[in-house]
Amino acid sequence: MDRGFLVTLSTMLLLMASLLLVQSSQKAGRNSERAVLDAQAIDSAAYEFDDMAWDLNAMLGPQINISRNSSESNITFTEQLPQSDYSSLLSNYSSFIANYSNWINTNITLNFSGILNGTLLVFSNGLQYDRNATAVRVYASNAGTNASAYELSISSNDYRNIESINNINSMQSGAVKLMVHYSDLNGSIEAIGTFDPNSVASYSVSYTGDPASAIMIRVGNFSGSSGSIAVEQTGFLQVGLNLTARGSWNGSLAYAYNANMNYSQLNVTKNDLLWVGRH
Amino acid sequence: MRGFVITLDSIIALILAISLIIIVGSPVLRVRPSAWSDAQVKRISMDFLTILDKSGALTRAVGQNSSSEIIYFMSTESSSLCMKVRLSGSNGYLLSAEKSGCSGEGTRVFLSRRTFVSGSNFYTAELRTWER
Repeated sequence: MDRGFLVTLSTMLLLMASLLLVQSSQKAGRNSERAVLDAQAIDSAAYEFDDMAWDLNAMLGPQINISRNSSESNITFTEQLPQSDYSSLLSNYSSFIANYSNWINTNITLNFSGILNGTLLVFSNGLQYDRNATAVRVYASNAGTNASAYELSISSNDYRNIESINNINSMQSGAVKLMVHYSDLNGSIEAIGTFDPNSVASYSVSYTGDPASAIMIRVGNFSGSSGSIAVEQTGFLQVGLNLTARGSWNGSLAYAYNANMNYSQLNVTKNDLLWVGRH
Repeated sequence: MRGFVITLDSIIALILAISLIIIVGSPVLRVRPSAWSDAQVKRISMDFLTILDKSGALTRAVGQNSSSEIIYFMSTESSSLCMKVRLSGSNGYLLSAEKSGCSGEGTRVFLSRRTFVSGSNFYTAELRTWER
């Protein structure tokens, strides 16, 4: 009788131990699955930021190409001037995203005030790219750009009258190299020179078709930033431009649209600029 | 008599043991879809939509009112996955595309969505993915 009781007791204890083992294994499995689901929620936030950033890229441009090697980086902006007013487009997009975020059970809000105030892009190396209807500007918000060269290709659809772009060829004493490839209905001008990043120099072209039309290139120290460059268009000209900024900026080079996005879903909250590319 | 009791006791204990093992073991032995595998399918779906958007395939699809390029992209994905894409604009449904050989839907469908812009028009792409 005692022997049978011992066998039953030991069987029960063995089963209890198995039960506890299974319970603990199931709990570990559930915790692991919860960790995966939490990570998935963070993943979703990252995909939404990427989605909105790419939408802005499609709506606003410009086309940007970044190339790097061990010693220097080139950032190229391909742009058209004049630009149409995009405030209503951004407003419509905000409404569209508000509906979309309701649909996918998230809370997404976008703040475009930075872009509407003129600064379209910000870079991780401190560079900023400003654009309004008639001008673009590359500068650094709180220091110099540290650019070693700018290469600018400009084309316009008019006959030129007076130009001072050729004067760039006689500027050879500055630290920042400036190359301009200019073309219009009269033909092309190639100019290579240098400029002092701490002073200001301007070069312009005026036109015969519409006396009010002009292109102005400004380089040097303005907007509180040394080594800056700006291109401005006036009148009814159509201007295509390709601007490359070259420098030995270290570290990873990323850029974002100067728009703030706030995303929240369940316990995941993310507030950031809309980063487009990292190189 | 004593031997009979011991034998009976052992048989009862054995039956009890086997029953408990079956009860305890069944949720473990049951084949369940893993969260890791789900997460992987979800990520493949999101990446697929991202590729469609960034390659311009979505914009071209609404511009040309044709799903052929999307179907081509689908055919490059793993054969174990089935996919169906539906594009909508402000006026509702525009077009859809389904991976070849994937009629109907599986029991576990993963839903991914992405917005895209063409000119000044805004669209949404909805992707349903399931394992064959």
